Amino acid sequence: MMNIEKQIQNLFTEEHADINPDKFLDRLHSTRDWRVRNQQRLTYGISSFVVVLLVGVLSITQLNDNASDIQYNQYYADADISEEMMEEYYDEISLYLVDQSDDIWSTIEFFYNVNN
Amino acid sequence: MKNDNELIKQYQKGSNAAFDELVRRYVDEVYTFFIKFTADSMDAEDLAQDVFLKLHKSLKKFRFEASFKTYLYRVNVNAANNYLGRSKWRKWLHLDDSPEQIDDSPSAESDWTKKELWDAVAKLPKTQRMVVTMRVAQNMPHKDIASIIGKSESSVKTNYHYGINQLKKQLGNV
Repeated sequence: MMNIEKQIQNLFTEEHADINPDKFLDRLHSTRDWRVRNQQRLTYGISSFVVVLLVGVLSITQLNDNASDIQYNQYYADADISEEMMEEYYDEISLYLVDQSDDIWSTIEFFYNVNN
Repeated sequence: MKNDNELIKQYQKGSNAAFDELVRRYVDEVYTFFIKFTADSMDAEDLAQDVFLKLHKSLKKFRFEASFKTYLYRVNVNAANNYLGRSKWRKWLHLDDSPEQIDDSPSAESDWTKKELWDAVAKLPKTQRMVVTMRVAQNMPHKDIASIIGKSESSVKTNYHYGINQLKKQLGNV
């Protein structure tokens, strides 16, 4: 045997305390239980995250049309308003404003601002 | 008394008591294997715990192609290699430079410490490291090592020879 092997063998002949199998098993059981609990916690955590993410993604998809688009679609998009009707509406509102206004010049200025 | 394979079969059917029996049967052997690598008994116990935790998972799918003892040695050697790898990193990161490490003095018979020896072993290529580990720590015959690592007896002898020479060079510089 080589000298180095002898030295290694000598290094390993040191006495060491025996291990207590009962204590070892108790520790093994508690470590195992702790790992199982951690695994469960991790699984629940990931599941919750996936659910929250899914709900978030679905909500964003639903809100893709913003509120003003929804209102426009709901109230105006399908309305059939002709130019004739609009002119009639402007005439009526002009007469009403001229009639109700105390200051004719401010009304004229208002119409000027609306048209420009 | 039931043999190892019978206990494993019982464990695969759901008996944790059978697994505990296996632990009681081999805990001392596994602990003795690891105490040779480590500076203190707590590290050895931690490594033994890791081995049995791993077995608790893997034995559920054990297919009885090799004997349990051979399988256990493989798990031990892998755990030891991982430990040596970690030690190498710890050394590189200077994590072992704590004051309590000062007690790691050389034994009367050798010129270097157990830690220096395993640091040198950690630097060997994988097969040499496995062979040297089993040979020097367990005093295992070449034939048994060959069956555990799945190589021929002559390959084991060659790897052992190169490994020891490498150790001699490395420890000569300590």
